Amino acid sequence: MSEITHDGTVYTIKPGMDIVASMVPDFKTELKDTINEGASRLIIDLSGVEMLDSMGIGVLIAAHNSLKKMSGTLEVIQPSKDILNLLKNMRLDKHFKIVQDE
Amino acid sequence: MYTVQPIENGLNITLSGSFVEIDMVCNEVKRFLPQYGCQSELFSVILGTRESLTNAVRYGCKQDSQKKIKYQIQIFDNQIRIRVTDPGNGFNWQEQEKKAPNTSQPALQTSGRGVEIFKLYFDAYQFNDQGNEIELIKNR
Repeated sequence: MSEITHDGTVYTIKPGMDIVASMVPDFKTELKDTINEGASRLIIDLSGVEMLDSMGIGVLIAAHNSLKKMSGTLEVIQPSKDILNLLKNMRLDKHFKIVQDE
Repeated sequence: MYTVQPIENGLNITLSGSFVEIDMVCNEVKRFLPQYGCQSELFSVILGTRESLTNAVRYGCKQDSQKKIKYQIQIFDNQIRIRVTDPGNGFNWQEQEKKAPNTSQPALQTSGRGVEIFKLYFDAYQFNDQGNEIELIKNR
Protein backbone atom coordinates (compact mmCIF):
# COMPACT_ATOMS: atom_id res chain seq x y z
CA MET A 1 0.00 0.00 0.00
CA SER A 2 1.24 3.43 -0.92
CA GLU A 3 1.83 6.25 1.53
CA ILE A 4 -0.66 8.98 0.67
CA THR A 5 -0.54 12.48 2.16
CA HIS A 6 -2.33 15.66 1.21
CA ASP A 7 -2.31 19.35 1.79
CA GLY A 8 -5.61 20.72 0.54
CA THR A 9 -6.00 19.36 -2.96
CA VAL A 10 -2.30 18.66 -3.44
CA TYR A 11 -1.81 14.93 -2.95
CA THR A 12 1.46 13.02 -2.72
CA ILE A 13 1.46 9.30 -3.28
CA LYS A 14 4.55 7.24 -2.56
CA PRO A 15 4.37 3.58 -3.56
CA GLY A 16 7.85 2.77 -2.18
CA MET A 17 8.02 -0.35 -4.34
CA ASP A 18 8.57 -1.19 -8.00
CA ILE A 19 5.64 -0.12 -10.21
CA VAL A 20 5.19 -3.32 -12.18
CA ALA A 21 2.47 -5.70 -13.39
CA SER A 22 1.95 -7.49 -10.06
CA MET A 23 1.13 -4.29 -8.13
CA VAL A 24 -0.40 -2.18 -10.89
CA PRO A 25 -4.06 -3.15 -10.19
CA ASP A 26 -3.82 -1.97 -6.55
CA PHE A 27 -1.83 1.14 -7.45
CA LYS A 28 -4.35 2.01 -10.14
CA THR A 29 -7.16 1.87 -7.56
CA GLU A 30 -5.19 4.10 -5.18
CA LEU A 31 -4.59 6.66 -7.93
CA LYS A 32 -8.22 6.58 -8.99
CA ASP A 33 -9.43 7.05 -5.41
CA THR A 34 -7.03 9.94 -4.88
CA ILE A 35 -8.23 11.66 -8.05
CA ASN A 36 -11.86 11.05 -7.08
CA GLU A 37 -11.22 12.60 -3.68
CA GLY A 38 -10.49 15.81 -5.58
CA ALA A 39 -6.74 15.99 -6.08
CA SER A 40 -5.95 18.96 -8.31
CA ARG A 41 -2.24 18.30 -8.22
CA LEU A 42 -1.04 14.75 -7.81
CA ILE A 43 2.61 14.14 -7.02
CA ILE A 44 3.95 10.61 -7.43
CA ASP A 45 7.09 10.16 -5.36
CA LEU A 46 9.28 7.46 -6.89
CA SER A 47 11.79 7.27 -4.01
CA GLY A 48 12.76 3.65 -3.55
CA VAL A 49 11.28 2.60 -6.91
CA GLU A 50 13.89 0.70 -8.93
CA MET A 51 11.74 -0.48 -11.81
CA LEU A 52 8.81 0.82 -13.82
CA ASP A 53 7.46 -1.47 -16.53
CA SER A 54 5.10 -0.70 -19.41
CA MET A 55 2.02 -1.48 -17.31
CA GLY A 56 3.33 0.94 -14.68
CA ILE A 57 3.87 3.56 -17.38
CA GLY A 58 0.31 2.90 -18.55
CA VAL A 59 -1.08 3.64 -15.11
CA LEU A 60 0.87 6.92 -14.82
CA ILE A 61 -0.50 7.98 -18.20
CA ALA A 62 -4.05 7.00 -17.23
CA ALA A 63 -3.69 9.18 -14.10
CA HIS A 64 -2.33 12.06 -16.18
CA ASN A 65 -5.20 11.73 -18.68
CA SER A 66 -7.88 11.67 -15.93
CA LEU A 67 -6.37 14.66 -14.13
CA LYS A 68 -6.06 16.64 -17.34
CA LYS A 69 -9.77 16.23 -18.03
CA MET A 70 -10.44 17.95 -14.70
CA SER A 71 -7.74 20.59 -15.26
CA GLY A 72 -5.50 18.89 -12.70
CA THR A 73 -1.81 18.07 -13.05
CA LEU A 74 0.41 15.09 -12.50
CA GLU A 75 3.98 15.43 -11.32
CA VAL A 76 6.57 12.70 -10.89
CA ILE A 77 9.36 13.31 -8.41
CA GLN A 78 12.56 11.52 -7.34
CA PRO A 79 12.91 9.03 -10.20
CA SER A 80 16.13 7.02 -10.30
CA LYS A 81 18.49 7.83 -13.17
CA ASP A 82 17.35 4.73 -15.11
CA ILE A 83 13.66 5.49 -14.61
CA LEU A 84 14.16 9.14 -15.59
CA ASN A 85 15.79 7.95 -18.82
CA LEU A 86 12.95 5.52 -19.45
CA LEU A 87 10.32 8.25 -18.96
CA LYS A 88 12.25 10.51 -21.35
CA ASN A 89 12.68 7.69 -23.87
CA MET A 90 8.90 7.26 -23.81
CA ARG A 91 8.59 11.06 -24.30
CA LEU A 92 6.52 11.46 -21.15
CA ASP A 93 8.58 14.43 -19.99
CA LYS A 94 6.75 16.35 -22.72
CA HIS A 95 3.43 15.72 -21.00
CA PHE A 96 3.97 15.97 -17.27
CA LYS A 97 6.53 17.48 -14.98
CA ILE A 98 9.35 15.23 -13.81
CA VAL A 99 11.53 16.55 -10.99
CA GLN A 100 14.77 14.93 -9.93
CA ASP A 101 16.62 16.30 -6.92
CA GLU A 102 20.34 15.98 -7.04
CA MET B 1 5.05 -25.00 -10.57
CA TYR B 2 7.93 -22.49 -10.50
CA THR B 3 11.29 -24.11 -11.19
CA VAL B 4 14.82 -22.79 -11.71
CA GLN B 5 17.45 -24.89 -13.40
CA PRO B 6 21.05 -23.74 -13.86
CA ILE B 7 22.41 -24.30 -17.38
CA GLU B 8 25.73 -23.42 -18.96
CA ASN B 9 26.22 -19.64 -18.55
CA GLY B 10 22.64 -19.19 -17.56
CA LEU B 11 19.32 -20.20 -16.09
CA ASN B 12 16.22 -21.97 -17.32
CA ILE B 13 13.12 -20.96 -15.41
CA THR B 14 9.61 -22.30 -15.76
CA LEU B 15 6.85 -20.13 -14.36
CA SER B 16 3.09 -20.07 -14.49
CA GLY B 17 0.94 -17.41 -16.10
CA SER B 18 0.87 -15.09 -13.08
CA PHE B 19 2.33 -11.61 -12.59
CA VAL B 20 3.66 -12.48 -9.12
CA GLU B 21 5.94 -15.14 -10.63
CA ILE B 22 7.47 -12.47 -12.91
CA ASP B 23 8.73 -10.79 -9.73
CA MET B 24 10.27 -14.12 -8.65
CA VAL B 25 12.09 -14.46 -11.99
CA CYS B 26 13.41 -10.89 -11.74
CA ASN B 27 14.72 -11.49 -8.21
CA GLU B 28 16.46 -14.64 -9.42
CA VAL B 29 18.04 -12.81 -12.37
CA LYS B 30 19.13 -9.92 -10.10
CA ARG B 31 20.95 -12.42 -7.88
CA PHE B 32 22.48 -14.17 -10.87
CA LEU B 33 23.76 -11.31 -13.05
CA PRO B 34 26.41 -9.82 -10.71
CA GLN B 35 28.40 -13.10 -10.91
CA TYR B 36 29.02 -12.18 -14.53
CA GLY B 37 29.80 -8.54 -13.87
CA CYS B 38 26.70 -7.33 -15.72
CA GLN B 39 25.93 -4.40 -13.41
CA SER B 40 25.61 -1.86 -16.22
CA GLU B 41 23.20 -4.07 -18.16
CA LEU B 42 21.02 -4.87 -15.14
CA PHE B 43 18.25 -2.31 -15.74
CA SER B 44 17.85 -3.25 -19.43
CA VAL B 45 17.88 -6.96 -18.68
CA ILE B 46 15.28 -6.68 -15.91
CA LEU B 47 13.11 -4.35 -18.01
CA GLY B 48 13.30 -6.70 -21.04
CA THR B 49 12.61 -9.69 -18.80
CA ARG B 50 9.54 -7.97 -17.36
CA GLU B 51 8.18 -6.80 -20.71
CA SER B 52 8.56 -10.17 -22.44
CA LEU B 53 7.13 -12.06 -19.47
CA THR B 54 4.25 -9.61 -19.01
CA ASN B 55 3.25 -10.17 -22.64
CA ALA B 56 3.53 -13.93 -22.10
CA VAL B 57 1.29 -13.79 -19.01
CA ARG B 58 -1.27 -11.37 -20.50
CA TYR B 59 -1.56 -12.60 -24.04
CA GLY B 60 0.13 -16.02 -24.14
CA CYS B 61 -1.53 -17.37 -20.98
CA LYS B 62 -4.47 -14.96 -20.62
CA GLN B 63 -3.41 -14.81 -16.95
CA ASP B 64 -4.23 -18.51 -16.49
CA SER B 65 -1.88 -19.73 -13.75
CA GLN B 66 -2.32 -23.33 -14.95
CA LYS B 67 -0.35 -22.39 -18.08
CA LYS B 68 3.43 -22.51 -18.26
CA ILE B 69 6.00 -20.06 -19.61
CA LYS B 70 9.64 -20.86 -20.30
CA TYR B 71 12.28 -18.24 -19.61
CA GLN B 72 15.94 -18.62 -20.43
CA ILE B 73 18.84 -16.25 -19.88
CA GLN B 74 22.38 -16.90 -21.04
CA ILE B 75 25.39 -14.68 -20.57
CA PHE B 76 28.29 -14.90 -22.97
CA ASP B 77 31.47 -12.82 -23.13
CA ASN B 78 29.99 -10.38 -25.60
CA GLN B 79 26.22 -10.91 -25.32
CA ILE B 80 23.28 -11.49 -23.04
CA ARG B 81 20.45 -13.52 -24.58
CA ILE B 82 16.95 -13.86 -23.15
CA ARG B 83 14.35 -16.18 -24.59
CA VAL B 84 10.68 -16.37 -23.56
CA THR B 85 8.28 -19.01 -24.87
CA ASP B 86 4.59 -19.05 -24.00
CA PRO B 87 1.80 -21.51 -24.84
CA GLY B 88 -0.32 -18.97 -26.72
CA ASN B 89 -1.24 -18.68 -30.38
CA GLY B 90 1.39 -16.02 -30.82
CA PHE B 91 1.74 -12.29 -31.26
CA ASN B 92 1.12 -11.17 -34.83
CA TRP B 93 4.37 -9.23 -35.13
CA GLN B 94 4.31 -9.33 -38.94
CA GLU B 95 1.01 -7.43 -38.95
CA GLN B 96 2.25 -5.06 -36.25
CA GLU B 97 5.35 -4.16 -38.27
CA LYS B 98 3.30 -3.64 -41.44
CA LYS B 99 0.90 -1.35 -39.58
CA ALA B 100 3.51 0.86 -37.99
CA PRO B 101 6.80 0.76 -39.83
CA ASN B 102 9.38 2.61 -37.77
CA THR B 103 6.87 4.76 -35.99
CA SER B 104 6.74 4.98 -32.26
CA GLN B 105 3.65 4.81 -30.12
CA PRO B 106 1.91 8.11 -29.37
CA ALA B 107 3.14 9.20 -25.97
CA LEU B 108 -0.24 9.21 -24.24
CA GLN B 109 -1.44 5.74 -25.18
CA THR B 110 -1.78 3.61 -22.03
CA SER B 111 -0.47 0.40 -23.64
CA GLY B 112 1.59 -0.95 -26.53
CA ARG B 113 5.09 0.00 -25.44
CA GLY B 114 6.67 -3.46 -25.27
CA VAL B 115 8.20 -3.53 -28.75
CA GLU B 116 9.41 0.06 -28.43
CA ILE B 117 11.19 -0.90 -25.21
CA PHE B 118 12.84 -3.91 -26.92
CA LYS B 119 14.07 -1.61 -29.69
CA LEU B 120 15.45 0.96 -27.28
CA TYR B 121 17.03 -1.29 -24.67
CA PHE B 122 18.32 -4.22 -26.76
CA ASP B 123 20.60 -4.56 -29.77
CA ALA B 124 18.30 -7.07 -31.43
CA TYR B 125 14.98 -8.82 -30.85
CA GLN B 126 13.23 -11.47 -32.87
CA PHE B 127 10.01 -13.43 -32.74
CA ASN B 128 9.61 -16.95 -34.06
CA ASP B 129 7.19 -17.36 -36.99
CA GLN B 130 4.31 -18.29 -34.72
CA GLY B 131 4.94 -15.27 -32.51
CA ASN B 132 4.86 -17.18 -29.20
CA GLU B 133 8.60 -16.97 -28.64
CA ILE B 134 10.80 -13.90 -28.42
CA GLU B 135 14.55 -13.63 -28.17
CA LEU B 136 16.23 -10.45 -26.91
CA ILE B 137 19.91 -9.85 -27.47
CA LYS B 138 22.01 -7.30 -25.65
CA ASN B 139 25.65 -6.75 -26.55
CA ARG B 140 28.09 -6.12 -23.72
